[in-house]
Order: sequence, then C-alpha cells, then structure tokens
Amino acid sequence: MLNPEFRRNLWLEMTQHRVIGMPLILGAMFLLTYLLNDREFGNEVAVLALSLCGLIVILWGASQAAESILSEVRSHTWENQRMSAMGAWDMAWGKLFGGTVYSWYGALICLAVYLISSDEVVVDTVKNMVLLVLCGLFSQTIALLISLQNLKKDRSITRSQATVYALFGLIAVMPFLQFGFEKEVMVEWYGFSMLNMDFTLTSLALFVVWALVGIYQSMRSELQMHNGLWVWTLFVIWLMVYLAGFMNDAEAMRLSVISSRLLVACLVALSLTYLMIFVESKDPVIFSRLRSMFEQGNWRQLNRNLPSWLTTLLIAFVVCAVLALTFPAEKGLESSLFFVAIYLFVLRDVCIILWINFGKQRKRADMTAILYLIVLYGLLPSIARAMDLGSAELLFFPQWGEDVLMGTLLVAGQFVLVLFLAKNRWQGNYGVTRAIHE
Amino acid sequence: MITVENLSFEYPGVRALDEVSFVVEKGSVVALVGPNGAGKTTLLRCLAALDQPLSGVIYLDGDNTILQPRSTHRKTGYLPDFFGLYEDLTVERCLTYHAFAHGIASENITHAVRQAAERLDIADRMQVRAKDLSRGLRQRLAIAQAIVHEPPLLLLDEPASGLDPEARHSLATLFLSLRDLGMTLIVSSHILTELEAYSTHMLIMRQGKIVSQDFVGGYRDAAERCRIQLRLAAGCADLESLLENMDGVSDVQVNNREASFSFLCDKELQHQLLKYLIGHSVPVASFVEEKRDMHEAYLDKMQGVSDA
Repeated sequence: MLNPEFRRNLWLEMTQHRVIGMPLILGAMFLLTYLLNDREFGNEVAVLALSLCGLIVILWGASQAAESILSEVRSHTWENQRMSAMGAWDMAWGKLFGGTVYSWYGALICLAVYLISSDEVVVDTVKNMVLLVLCGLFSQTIALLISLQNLKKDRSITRSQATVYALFGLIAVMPFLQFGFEKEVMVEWYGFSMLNMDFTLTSLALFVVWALVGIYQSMRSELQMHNGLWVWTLFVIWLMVYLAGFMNDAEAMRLSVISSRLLVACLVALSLTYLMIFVESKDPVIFSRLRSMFEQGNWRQLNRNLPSWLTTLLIAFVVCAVLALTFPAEKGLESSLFFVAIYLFVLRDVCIILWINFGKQRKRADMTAILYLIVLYGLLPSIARAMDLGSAELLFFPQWGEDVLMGTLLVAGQFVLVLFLAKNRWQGNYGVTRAIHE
Repeated sequence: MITVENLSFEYPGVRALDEVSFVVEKGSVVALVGPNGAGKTTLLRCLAALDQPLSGVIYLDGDNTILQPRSTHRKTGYLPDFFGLYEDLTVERCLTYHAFAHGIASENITHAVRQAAERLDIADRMQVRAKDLSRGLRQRLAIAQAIVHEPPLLLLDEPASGLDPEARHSLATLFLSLRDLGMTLIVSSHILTELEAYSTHMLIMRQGKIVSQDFVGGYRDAAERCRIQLRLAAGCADLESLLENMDGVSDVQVNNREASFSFLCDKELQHQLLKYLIGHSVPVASFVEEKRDMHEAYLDKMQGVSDA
C-alpha cells in the first residue's frame, strides 16, 4: 500500500498542469543555452543542468520539505495527522519525499540532461550527480528537522519560516559543495588519505542518515511517543569522533594527538550544548515535570523527558573532566583549572539563558539571551581592554596561565549568582501555579 | 470506557486542569460545558493524547493514554475547535486520505469513504474541492474525516459553532446515530439547548476543575430521587396531608391546583403512588417527572459553585 502521506502529496504536487510545466520550462532554458553556445550540446548546458539541479533540490526542495510540516500547522491539519495511524517513519518519509516530489521531478530532468551533455569521464559525472542528490537530501532533511524542532517551541508559523529553514539547509551543505568538487585534493582522516570527493560523498551520506534519524526521533516526539537519550548521545559521540579525525597535525599545538583530538571532542560537546539549548524549548512546565519525576524517583520517565542540551552538558562534563585529568602531564597543573573554568563558563551561560526564559515575558527570550552573551563575550571585554583593565578579562574568558585560579574563582562566583537568580525566578514565576482566570 | 484520575495540566504559570477525575461509560454522550477558559479544550486534547499532562492518568479501554498514545490515537476521532481541511483536495480525496492514514485496508476504503460521506450527507459533493464548500459543509466534511475509521471514542470541540439551525439539527441526529453504533462521544459546546438533544451526561468544568457530572434529562439527586409535578382537575383540600403520609414523599409544595414533591425515580413506585392518590379521590389531571433543561441545571450548578 502506498504511503498515505506520500499519496496525498502526489495528489497535490503532481497535477497535470505542473507535470507538463516543469519539463517545458527547463527545456526552454536548455534550448536557450544550446542556441547561445553555437548550437552545441556540451559543457555550458551541463553546467546549467547541474546548477539548476542544485538550485531546485537544495534551496527550493528544502523550502518544500520545511513547508510539508509548517503548512500543516498553519492550516490546522497537523493535529489530524498526529492522530492518524501512520507511524513516525511513514510520516517522516511521506513528508520528506512527498513534500519535495515536484522538486525531485525537476532535478531528475536536470540530471538526465547533465548526464547526456557532460564531457567529464563517466565516473566523475556520476559522482557529481550523487553529490548533488546527497546535498539536496541533506539540505531537505535539515530544513524538515528544524521545522519539527521549532514546533516544540512555537506553533505560530509564518510564511517566511520555510525560506529561513531552507537557508539553514543551504548553510549545512555549503562545506560539502565547497570541498566536494575539488576532486584531486586528498583528505587525511585518522591518518588515512582519501580522495576528497570520495570522502565528501561518504561523510555526506552519513550526515544524511543522522539527519533522517533526527527527523524520525522528532516525529516520534510529535506523535507523543517517548525517545530515550541514547540516540542523541550516540550522535554527539559520533560527531566528536568524526571531527577529531581531522586533527592530525598536533605538533603545531605542541600537544599529543590524543589531547588534540580530545580538545576537538570537547569543542563539539560544548558547541552542541549551546546549539541545543537554543533549539529546544525551555518551557518552565518541562522543569516542573522533571522536578516531579525526580521527586518521585521516576528515572525511566526522567530519561525520556530530559532535554538534549542537558544530556550534551553531561557529556561535555565528562570530556572536560578527562581533559582536566590528562592535560597536566603535558601542560602543567594550571591546565586542569583551565578546563574547570571553561565548564563553569558554559554553566553560567546556560543559567543566563534559563534565567531569561523563566521571565514572565518569554517571547523572544532566546534572542535576548544571545544579545546578553554577545555583550558578555564581545562588548564588555572590549570596553575593559579600551580602559586598560587587562585583568578584568578574567571575568569574561577562561584564562590560561598564572591567573587561572583567580579566573576560575570569579567564574564560579558568577555561576552561583546566576544559578540563584534563575532558580528564584523560576520559583517566583512558575514554581507555584495559579488556576486559570484566578 | 474512559477513566481520568487526578489529571493536572499546566501552561507556564497557569494550571489549566487541576486534579480532574471522572469516569465516562461506554456508549454515553457527554456534554462538556463550562465558561471560556474552564479547561475544556485542554481536557479534550489530553484525552486525545495530543498533550502530555503534568500529572495524573487517563485510561481509555484500560490503556494508559500517556504510556500508549498511539493506541489512543487509533481509537479516537477528534475534531478540534479550529479544524483544517486540505483545501485543494476534493471531498472524496480528503476522506480517502484519512481512511488510508487511519490504516483502513485498501479493499475497504471505498466503502468507508462512502459510508462516512453518507452519514454526514455530503455524498453528493464527492468531487467538490474542500475550498469550495460552505461553512456548514466544511464542518460536516471535518466530522466525516474524524469518523471515517469508526473510532470507539469521538471527541468534538465546539462542533456546531457557525452552523445554521437545520445543520445543528442534523448534527444532533448524527450524534444519536453514532451513539447507537456504540460510539462514545464527548462534545464540548456553549450551546446547551443543542447538547440537550443528544447528551446522556453533562460534565461541568470551571477553573480547571470538574464541578459536577450529572445525567441529562430527569432531575435526579444522589439517591435516585426526582421531583414530581402534579396537576389537578379541581381543588383538593387534603392533598398535602395525603402526600406527606405516603412513604418516600418529601419536600411537598402545594399551590392551589398544583403540587410538586420529591419522590423516588422508580417507575413502579410512581405507579403505586398515582394509584394511591386516585384511590383517595384526588382529581389528578397530570403526573409527570419535573424536567429541568440543561441550561437551568448548568446555571444552578455554577451558581452553587459561586456561592460556595
């Protein structure tokens, strides 16, 4: 039986008019290029076909993928879909491939023209095609994933959101597009040398798989099914391992290879903590629920409801702890405190973000938090520098060297203060609820 | 069919449902009433396993809806207050999509679609696109979508809003026929007169709490008593003493040729009472259970809560 969601999208997207229109428009563009190039069906047509394919699947396709969810919420049909008997995976692929089916139809035409007109060797031609298809898929999965994630925070959808999410998709594929076509370059990963194109294709395929897993998990969550923490934990570990593989020149940093790779892993964990705390909802009710589960000792439910940013923060703690324990052998004792200070800065920032989100006016809380962090990490240190208050920088950044103890104490103080403020604000505004209309 | 125990739900800083508990029997039609913001929509969404409550449990046919939300989704049809339709699809395709999405086998799809369309009286508009339907017909299509898989439980949030009197009447007829098919319905509405036509129970909510859960129709108190209204063809001087001497009769009020009193709802006992009155030459012209309409019952309950 055909996936109902895919079938519905086929009904809406592949109307007779549109099915005829796409090849006509693309055909006219290829004809014009052919005529302008002395009636040669060669490289110019191939470049146009590849560019159009990229444009159609990466930008337009991503926008369509995001719309496959956003339009449902906007037109109040999403609750019906959530209550259908379709499973999370059926819903995910029905939307991903159904919502974008028309863009893939156009892309297929472009790829066919490219295959015929390309003057590259067949293997390279096919690899270019696979790269574009994977880039399209990745861009679309990212746009769909962001749409699903955003539903947990805000269900008031505007029309421009799909375009914004498509741009995020484009940003996600940019590194692959940039490096993928550099065919002769070699990539070194954990000491292995691989052709850039082959490495890019493999990496991209893996990222697409992870994005699909992310969509599946988010869809499960939308269908009120519970997700454990292990999938996200696996992804964080995978990304740490993947990116650490590029750290092959530890000599430049006067570090051992292991330490340099641990540093990358730490950076990944910390970056993902910041990313997820902004992506995920900080609804105070979630914290009420977590508190209630904790008080009841309901660890299974707690595991299911724990936000991903909190899990990542715990992973970051483990990595920072390993670094704090292993670095002194290479860099002296003060390096331990340096990693403690880094972790305390992250904890302080998390508390600032929560403190703002626990306010009575929660609209645009994340934007306000970003502004605060820009002030803390950019504006205030610049003012301190301009006033020749060099030592004041201890307040704003983790410091390496003899001031590290003072810096750690200062950031610990900041953390305790902001934690106290956040806790008080949550208890004051949301700790004790009032009945509606009272 | 449904058991709700100590259900609480919070929006940030606001408790929308506060320790709500009630039971709904299979085959009943429950009118969910209460002022705006009482928590009716939140309750329906929790029952539909669309939102996770802060605490408490809901059992639907023995399944915990929080732990088994997908089982709840399969057994439930839900019409939200702001429903949407696929505007560019025809009525037939809208229903076909929902039938497939609810897992109806391919060979049964045509029958299920036709049946849902006929029940909602839209079978003659199968090829009309949803965006070309009138308000009333859109409402009917939305309900048809919700019942195409014949769910045992149907939750409807303000299903009659915006419908003309004729459409409301046909909606009431439809709900009665769905009840006869064995479905359990919970209908949230502000229009009490409309609910009265098909509801068996009334669940009153206020400020996130259940104020009362009553039968609809004859006024019965906790001891299954009702109020009887008596009209006489002529005056009867000893009516009051006759009534007060009868076992089970209480709270007698006599006014000229009319009397009302509290008595048991048992029909056989009522028959015995009537026989007794006629046997004592009381000129009885009518003997009926006093009915209070839903509106009156609702206002009484709400007044009671306000006074408390």
